[in-house]
Amino acid sequence: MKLHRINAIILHHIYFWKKSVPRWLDILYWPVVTLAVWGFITTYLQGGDFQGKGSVTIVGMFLGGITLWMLFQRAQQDIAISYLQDIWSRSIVNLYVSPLTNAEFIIASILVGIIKVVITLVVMALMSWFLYAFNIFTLGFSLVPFIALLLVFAWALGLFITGVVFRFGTDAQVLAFGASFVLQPIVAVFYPLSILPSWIHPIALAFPLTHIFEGMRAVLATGQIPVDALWWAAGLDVVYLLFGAWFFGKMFSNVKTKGLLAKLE
Amino acid sequence: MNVLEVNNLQKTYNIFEALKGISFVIGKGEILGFLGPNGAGKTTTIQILLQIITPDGGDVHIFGLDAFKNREDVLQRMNFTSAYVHLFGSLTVWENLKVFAMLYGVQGTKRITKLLKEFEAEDLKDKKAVTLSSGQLTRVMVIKALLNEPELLLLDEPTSSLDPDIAEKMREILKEIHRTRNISMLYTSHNMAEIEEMCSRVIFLSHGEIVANDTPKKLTRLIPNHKLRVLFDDDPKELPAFLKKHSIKGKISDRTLHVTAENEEIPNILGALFKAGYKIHDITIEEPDLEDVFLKIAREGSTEK
Repeated sequence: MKLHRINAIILHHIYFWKKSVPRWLDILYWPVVTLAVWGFITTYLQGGDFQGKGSVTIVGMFLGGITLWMLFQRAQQDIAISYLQDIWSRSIVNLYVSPLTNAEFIIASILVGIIKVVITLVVMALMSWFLYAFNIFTLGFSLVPFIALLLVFAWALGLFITGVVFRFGTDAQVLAFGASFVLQPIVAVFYPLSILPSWIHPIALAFPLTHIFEGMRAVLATGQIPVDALWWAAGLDVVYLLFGAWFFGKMFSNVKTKGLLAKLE
Repeated sequence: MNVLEVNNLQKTYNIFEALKGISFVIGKGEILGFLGPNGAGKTTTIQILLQIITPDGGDVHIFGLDAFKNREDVLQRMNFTSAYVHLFGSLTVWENLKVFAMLYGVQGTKRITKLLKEFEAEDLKDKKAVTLSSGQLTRVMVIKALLNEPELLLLDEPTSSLDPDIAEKMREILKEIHRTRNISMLYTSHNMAEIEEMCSRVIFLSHGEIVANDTPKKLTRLIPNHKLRVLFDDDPKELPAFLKKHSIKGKISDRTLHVTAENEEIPNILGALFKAGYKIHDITIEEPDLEDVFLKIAREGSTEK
């Protein structure tokens, strides 16, 4: 692994990113709009009580859920979109005829993704504070492991989706944008797991996201970090990350065997 | 020492045998022409050398290293350009070249500036790649391919889409680079005259097999037929009967006789025409060229047939 190649891909992403309106919308516009809409709806349902008794728990849980969810979605899309933008411009062959390795490309994409996640987090946190007087950092230091675990699962899912895109081409690109929405109803983002029908519980608990969002609500409600939830999320993250990396490697190898890399479009 | 050694390379897609165990080498400083009709296996071979396709069998040694076990080392010392591969469209030419320079570990911008100047492409540096004409894109792709000062260059139709004067300039630059740095090149083109000009040896592929492997000169000798054109002063009215009598197969149009014949037969044909009293205004004899070899292989599959 060579640092100069990782830096090259970071530079490539930054050049691309700085002049791409859709990517700026992903980082700023959609998180802000989502936060505004959900925040105002929640406040309305609570009778316009922005800062009154109980607002920290209900509005806070919603806003915390939205913020973490947007970070997850951002990070999940980043890896797949990094590849897709080179597939769309038919330049991916130029990258892979250089000594660049998949690991270098993915690490560079993750590093750029972290910068984007930080920007999104800061914008959403400021907006939550000014509009709803909700401080996401109420979660304190527990925010760090929650976000870290969230990102690891996002990258694992991103690798899996990129593998599918490699194998089936841009016909499968809808997954990069839509896969997270398949999970959203069952991983207890905005409501506790107990609301869901009991037969869904085992499915929901098989995803680290459920443990992360349940854990976030526990911190907001009790001020205590649920260590069990963190361990479960971490363990599941390892499993998903290994599977995502294996699947990506398998699909990439498959594409090379079938001679499809230069034909991806 | 050979820069590239390909041994018994095989590739099958489902039931289609794209490569049936081809073997060839490229020596240090050699420019090898790689020709064949569409579907012959040229692109598959190049993509295997670039390791974006995995072969079913055979081995490839580049710079004496097993290419598949030393991917990064090997690709660091070679490069590739193709008329069918694009740059990052939304990035400027300069940004594209900067990214590729960094990928190959080329420090600073001196090399990029030098190449842009050499290829008279300085005015393109702030243009977005997506806005380049195909000729401009081809030029920038060649600059990209030279960023890392490769020892082996794979050139897939490097002058396609170029205006004739720019194509000529490109060939001159490539020849100069070859002369001064002794770079080995694998060169594909549909322009046979270009292949004859650039390449010291040519491989013809057909249906996944190497059907000819020699210098351009020797390959053209495999085609015995020359094209003879005889322009008469007057309309040669009795010529059809003359051709029939002497068993010469030819076509007549606009006072001109067109005959395709072996080199040894041509003096006999001309002698017979003079003897019969035809007034000849002009004679043209065209030797076979690579185009003829290509056409023969495309039609028949091999120069041996």
